Amino acid sequence: MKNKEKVALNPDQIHIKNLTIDDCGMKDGAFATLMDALVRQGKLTSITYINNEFSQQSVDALSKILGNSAANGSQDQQFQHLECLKLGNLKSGNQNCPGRLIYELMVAVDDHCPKNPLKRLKLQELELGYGTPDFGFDPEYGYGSVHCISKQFEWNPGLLELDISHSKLLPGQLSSLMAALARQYTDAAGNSPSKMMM
Amino acid sequence: MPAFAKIQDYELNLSNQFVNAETIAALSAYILDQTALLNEKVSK
Repeated sequence: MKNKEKVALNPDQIHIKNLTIDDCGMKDGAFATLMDALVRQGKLTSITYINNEFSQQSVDALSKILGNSAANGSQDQQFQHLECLKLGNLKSGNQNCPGRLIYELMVAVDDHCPKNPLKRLKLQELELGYGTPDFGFDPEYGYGSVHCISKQFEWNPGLLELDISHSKLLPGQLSSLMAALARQYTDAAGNSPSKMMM
Repeated sequence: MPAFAKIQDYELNLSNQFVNAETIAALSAYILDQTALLNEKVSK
């Protein structure tokens, strides 16, 4: 205990706001362990997680971060919510990260959007085309992950940046996404969707 | 704290550093321990 007291307690060397984990050989369980520690700080505003393993434990841990609230933060008045989430080229074992997991994550993003809206969302080289008629289908927006991303346009006016490059969307899904974006554009500026699509 | 993990200016960057379950467990324990100490100091 005496040794601990000798360590300078500088918040900027203890609290983590920006986390970058790129190509570390990070496993699903290890990422979840780290997230479980950081959720208790209540300071994390930006996560970049690229070229690592991502499976069910990671989804569950990230969902907790997305839904974190001041009550879970170390100092309620200084609680900060996640604003920037960047995921790219993730694997589950030797396979690409299943689209189902990205869909589950996007459901959490949407669920917690009213309280903890993201400003930047990057889902690069991930299978966003996932969806089945029984799993998130909406006749207006489409299937699965695309449906959830479309909802972000509607529910999250503070979303400044969306990167979904190299995400294996089918033409109909991309069209659905663009239509949702155009509808939002029409609502905000009074222009027609057709003008936006041009 | 594991030597590879330096928290500076509220930032932790582990890019291109190989990690395993043991090192991350140690890092997580350090974070929790230091956070508790800091909270204790602030609340006094």
